[in-house]
Amino acid sequence: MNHFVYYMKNRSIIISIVLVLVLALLWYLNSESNNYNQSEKFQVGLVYLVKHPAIDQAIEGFKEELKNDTVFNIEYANAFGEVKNVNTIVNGFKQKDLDLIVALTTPCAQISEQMVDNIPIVFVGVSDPVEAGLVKDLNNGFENVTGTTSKDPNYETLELAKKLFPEMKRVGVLYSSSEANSVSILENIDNKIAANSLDVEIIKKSVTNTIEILPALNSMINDLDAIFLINDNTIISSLDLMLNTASDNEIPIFASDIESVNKGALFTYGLNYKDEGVAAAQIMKRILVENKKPSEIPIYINSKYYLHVNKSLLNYDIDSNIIDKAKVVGE
Amino acid sequence: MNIFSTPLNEALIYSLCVYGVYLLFRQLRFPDISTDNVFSFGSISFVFFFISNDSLILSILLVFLSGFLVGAFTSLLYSKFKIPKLLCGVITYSILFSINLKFFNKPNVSMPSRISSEESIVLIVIINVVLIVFMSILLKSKLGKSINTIGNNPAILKEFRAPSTWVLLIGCGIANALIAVSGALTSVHFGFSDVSIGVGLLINSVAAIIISENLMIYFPKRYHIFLIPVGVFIYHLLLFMVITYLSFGLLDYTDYKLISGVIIILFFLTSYKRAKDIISF
Repeated sequence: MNHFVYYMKNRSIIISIVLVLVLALLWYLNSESNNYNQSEKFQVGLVYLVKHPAIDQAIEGFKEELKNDTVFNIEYANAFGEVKNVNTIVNGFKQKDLDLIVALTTPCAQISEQMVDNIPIVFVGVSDPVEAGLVKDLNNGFENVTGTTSKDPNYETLELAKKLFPEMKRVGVLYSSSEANSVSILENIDNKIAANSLDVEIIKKSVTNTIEILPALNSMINDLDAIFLINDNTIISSLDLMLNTASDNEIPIFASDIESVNKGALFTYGLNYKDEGVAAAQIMKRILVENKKPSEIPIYINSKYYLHVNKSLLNYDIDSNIIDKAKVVGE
Repeated sequence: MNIFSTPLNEALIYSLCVYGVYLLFRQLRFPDISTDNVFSFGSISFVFFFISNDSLILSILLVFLSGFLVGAFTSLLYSKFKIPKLLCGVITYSILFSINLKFFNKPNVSMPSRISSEESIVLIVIINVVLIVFMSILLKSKLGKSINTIGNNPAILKEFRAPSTWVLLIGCGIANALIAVSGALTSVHFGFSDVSIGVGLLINSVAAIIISENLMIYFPKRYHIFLIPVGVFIYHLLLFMVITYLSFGLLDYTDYKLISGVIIILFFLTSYKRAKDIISF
C-alpha cells in the first residue's frame, strides 16, 4: 500500500476523476429525484435531532395516523445529534421544494423557522414554543409555523407519590444541565410545589454526561426518601443504572415516562407521545388536504395522561384505592 | 445555481472555525481539542453580548476578545503549569461546559431581534473578509513567522531567544478567537443559540483541512490561506449532495456518516504525506 501511495505521481488526475464520478452520480440521482417530485403525492420532509424513545413514539404515532393515506410521501432525516447537519437537511428540503416540513425537537424547529419562509412547518416535541421564538402565543400559529407541544404531568406524579408515601420528604432528581427541557421541567415543579405548599423538598444534582451519573447518585442517595426520574435524555439513557441503585438502597423510584415504568420504575402519570405524533399528522392533513393556513391552526397541547403502575409497587405498603384504575405493567 | 447556495453559506460560516483549527493543528502543532465547546461558547456569548448592547459589530468584537482569552488560558495551562498539551484542551473543553450554561442558566436561547438568514450573509461575508485579510497580514509579520516556527522547529525559537510562551499564547488565542467568532456568525445565521451547537465541529474541520491540503500542493505558499474556505466549500458541497440526494435510490440518510468517512479516506490516500502531518504531533 505504501509504495502505491508514494509513487502515485498523478494524484491530481485520480482525484479529479473521483470527484467528477461522484458529482456525476449525484447529478444523476438529482435528476431522478426531480422526476420523483413530479408525481401526484405530497412530498413531506421530517427531520429530528437524534434517536430517542419519545421521538420514536411520536414518529410511530405520525406513521400510524397516515397508514391509510397514500397521498403522502415522507422522507425521514436523522441529524445524528449535530446541529449543523440540521441546517444541511432543512436547506436540502428547501432545495427540493417539498410541500411541508415536520420538525421534531427544539433546534430542528428553530432552524426550519429561520431558513424556510414559504413552506409550512409543523413542529413536534418543543416544550416551550413561545420561548423558542417559534410562535407568538399558543392560540394560533405564526406565519408558516404551527405544531404540537406537551404539558408533562410531572407535578401530578409528584403529588401522587406524596399520597402513596406520606412520610416522603426529600426527593432526589438527577438532570442533565445542557437540556433545555429538563431545566424548564424542574423550574415548573419548583413553582408548583411553592404554589400548592406541598411538603416535599426537591434535591437536584446536575450531570453533563452518563459517566457522572453514578457518582452523583451515590453522593446524595443516603439523604433521600425517593428518586424521581424526569424525562431527560442523558438520565433515561442510563435507566438501568438508576433502577438498580435505587433497589439496592431500597428507595422508591418513580418516573415521568411510561417506558421507564415498563422497565421497573414504580409508577407514573405518563404522556403518550404517540398522541403528539397523531396530532401532527392531523395538522399536516389540514394544511395540505384542506388547504388551511398554518397561522390559523392553534398549537395542539398534549395533556392527556394515563396512570401506569409497575407490578413491584404492589409489594409496598400503600393505599390500593388510589391506584385501582391504573394500568399495571411489568413482568 | 441553487444547489451551491447552501454549501456556500456553510463554507462562509465555518471557514473561520476551520482556519482556527488549521492554525492550531498545523502551524502551532498544539492539539487543542476544545473546539466544539469554544464554538458553542462563541455562539452563546454572542447572544448574551447582543442582548446587553444591541450592536452586532461590537458584540462580535467582544466575542473575539473572549475567545482570545479562552485560547490564552489553554496555552497557559501548557506553558505555565506544564500540563500535557492534549489534556489542556480537555480541561478547557469541560470547563466551558459549565461556563456556557452560566450565560443564561438554560441551554437554548433565541435571538431577541431576528435577522433574516439572507441579511446575515452580508455581515458574515464582511467579517470573513476582514478576518482573513487580518490573518494574512499577521502571518507575514515577524510574529506570524514565529507562530509558524513554533510548530515546525521550536529549537530555532530558543536559539533566537524569542519568548515562545507569548508566541504560543497569541497563536492559541487568535485561533480560538476565530473559532468563537465563527460560532457567533452561526447564531446570527440560525437566529438562536444552543449549548450543543458545536457538536462534531472538530471532526468536520479536520476533514475540510485534509481536502484543503490536497489543493495546497498545487499552489504557492502565499495562497494557502485562501484555500481553506475552498476546501470547506468542497467538503460541504459533497455532504450536502449526499444528505439531500442520496436519500432516494441507493442509500438513505443513515448512511451519510459512512459516506463522509469514505470521502475523507479517499482524500487522505491521495495526499498521504501531507495529511498525516495533521494528526501527528
